[in-house]
Amino acid sequence: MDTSQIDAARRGDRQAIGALLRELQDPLYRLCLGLLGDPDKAHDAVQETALRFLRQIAAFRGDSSITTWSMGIAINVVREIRRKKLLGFQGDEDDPADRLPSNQPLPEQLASLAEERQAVRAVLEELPHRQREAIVLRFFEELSVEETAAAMQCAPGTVKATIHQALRSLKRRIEQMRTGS
Amino acid sequence: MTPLRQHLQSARDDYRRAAYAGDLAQDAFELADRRRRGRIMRLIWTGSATAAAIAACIVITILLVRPPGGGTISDPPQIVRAFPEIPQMPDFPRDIPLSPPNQSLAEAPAMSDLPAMPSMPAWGLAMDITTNGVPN
Repeated sequence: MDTSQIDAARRGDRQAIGALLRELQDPLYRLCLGLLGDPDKAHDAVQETALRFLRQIAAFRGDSSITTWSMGIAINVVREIRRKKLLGFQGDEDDPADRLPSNQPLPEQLASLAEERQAVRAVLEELPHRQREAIVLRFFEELSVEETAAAMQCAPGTVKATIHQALRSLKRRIEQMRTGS
Repeated sequence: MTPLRQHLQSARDDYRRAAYAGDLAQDAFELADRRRRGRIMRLIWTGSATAAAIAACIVITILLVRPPGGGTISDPPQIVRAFPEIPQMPDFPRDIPLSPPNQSLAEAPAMSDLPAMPSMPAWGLAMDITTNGVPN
């Protein structure tokens, strides 16, 4: 994404905005899907993100990359969806980690999953929301710690601590899966 | 490679395969236009409803304040000062006779026919008023 295109988008050039959105649509969709875990909700969330992108692009100052900035918008949308502010979201608003304390064995449905990869994905979805956001941005989108912090609107130190907690939790759950406990 | 790293790698591969079905730019522009139209319609509707409500309030106020006879509020009641008309004094009747119609003045009793006045009775109260008016 070149600077001239971003400048044109900031001035309201419809073509430039369209080109930016086409480049961002897959990363934004992946992020929403990774955080919400539901394709339909991710679809709605990415459209809402695009609408806010249209409204706010004129105010983009370039402190971070346009990708990081738009991912920050997407994360806000996902957080609002979780708080049931949008789309009549009826999913799990409570933190999954509260339902599955790390000392307890995995639920039956998770143990019955045939593929270990699916089980790992399920474990990822059970992470607390903030930890999942950090893992998705840092490891799946391969953003730097600073970029992850910008997207999550928190300090880099908070990102590091959150990732550390998430990895420790994941490691423990994977070991539990392997030992079958 | 540790098991955790392997799992994260495979999860990332799965993650990367997801893609948005369609054209996000086109969808977003359509959505934005639809919402803008909706906002305009909502604005028009709200404006019309507000105007109708104000008009209804005015009409209700007029109906409540206006007297049932149909007079207007701005017409104050006119004060009519009524002076009673004094009728003219009637003319003295000239054709009324002084005596009853069947009796002439000649037949009327004369003053000399009146009986004499009765005399005053004496009650023994005669006084001698010869000496300076002082009774003896």
